[in-house]
Amino acid sequence: MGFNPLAWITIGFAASSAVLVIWFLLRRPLLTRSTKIILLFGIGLLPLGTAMTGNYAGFEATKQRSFCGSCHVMTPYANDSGDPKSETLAARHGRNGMFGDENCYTCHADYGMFGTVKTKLGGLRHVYEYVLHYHDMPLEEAKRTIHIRQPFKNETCMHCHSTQNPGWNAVAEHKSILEPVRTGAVSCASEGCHGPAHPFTKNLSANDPSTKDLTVKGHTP
Amino acid sequence: MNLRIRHVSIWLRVSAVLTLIALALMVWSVLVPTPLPVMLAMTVGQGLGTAAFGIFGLVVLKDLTRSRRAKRDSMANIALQTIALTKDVLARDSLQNIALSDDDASRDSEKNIALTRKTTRDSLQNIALSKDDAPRDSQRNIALAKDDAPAGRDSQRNIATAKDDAPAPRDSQQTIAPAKDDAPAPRDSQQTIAPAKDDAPAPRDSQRDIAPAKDDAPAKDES
Repeated sequence: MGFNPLAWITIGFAASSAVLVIWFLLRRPLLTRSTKIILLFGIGLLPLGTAMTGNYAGFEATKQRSFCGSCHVMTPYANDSGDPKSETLAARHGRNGMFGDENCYTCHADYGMFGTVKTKLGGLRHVYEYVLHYHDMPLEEAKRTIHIRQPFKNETCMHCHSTQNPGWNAVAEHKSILEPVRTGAVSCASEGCHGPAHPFTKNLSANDPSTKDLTVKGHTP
Repeated sequence: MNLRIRHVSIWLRVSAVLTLIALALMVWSVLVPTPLPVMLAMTVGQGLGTAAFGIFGLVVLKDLTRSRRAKRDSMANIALQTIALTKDVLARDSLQNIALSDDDASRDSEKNIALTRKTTRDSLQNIALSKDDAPRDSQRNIALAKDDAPAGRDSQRNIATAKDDAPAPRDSQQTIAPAKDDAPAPRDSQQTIAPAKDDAPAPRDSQRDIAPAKDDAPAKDES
């Protein structure tokens, strides 16, 4: 990961604030007006700047593929989508400059009015699940059991593929199932169409009876 | 007061330590952007930083309130002390004034009484003196008057000599006469007037004629 300039600003704010706070802790000056002003910067304004830039840097960091792949159960997904030789749907999108290193977030984000908030809340749920259920789970077992919580929406695909382009409509399969695709009745990533984005998990989950109920008709994790 | 200051400093130190922890979490999340640091920074770090800033704000607010109260109390104390001092000073001054006025009044009245007594004594002395001096002076004056009686004689003598000599009236008449004769000023004045009256010489001559007539009238005087 390239070092974000925002991170430098965050570190600068934090270092300045820390210098003032440590000076206060070591020197223990009287609570005069100047001390209050120094502490206002040390405890109030500079940490506020640190929080603002740090949070922004944190939100940007959560979009990175490397962030998603930092949990061991997600490592196969991140490695595949970042593999330039892979022919999976995720990898092909990952090679697109519009997706790049943020291809996980770009595909799995909710693009509604509160899409970002809902996506972050979903990310918190991922963390909760990981810490409580999958932290010590072996990777092979995790591949079989981990599944997408809700069916992948065609709207996410239609964010770029509008289904109105003449070139897209020139494809006979597209034209034949235009309405089911637009309504989400038929998934773009279904078998027989573009296939699952992460196909290396499907063979495992298909044979595992514990994950059969998680696979929705027409949708794949 | 010392307890309060120590209490404030403890809370400020707690706030400073919380700030340092929050900053450390934030920096960790930036340097190692993995789920755990980022999650900790965005939850625990945010909470600790907010709590630290809240504690700092409360401490400063309390300190400001305390200092304002102290200032108000000190002002009130100063006002009360001033009022008390003013009361004391006024009371002391009024008592002093009363004492002084009593002293002055009694002293003045005693002085006045003494003066009055002196005045009466002086007046009595004057009366006594006038009683003593007046008869003596009058007797002396009488005596002097008696002693100076020759003056009366002199006056009689003078009267007598005046009667004997009697030249003075004659001289006076003589002096009067030439004055009438000479009478230069009236004449000149008349002369100066006269040309205006076409040189009327007749009146001058008539006056000269009258003057010898007066001088030349011994017959009547002798008769």
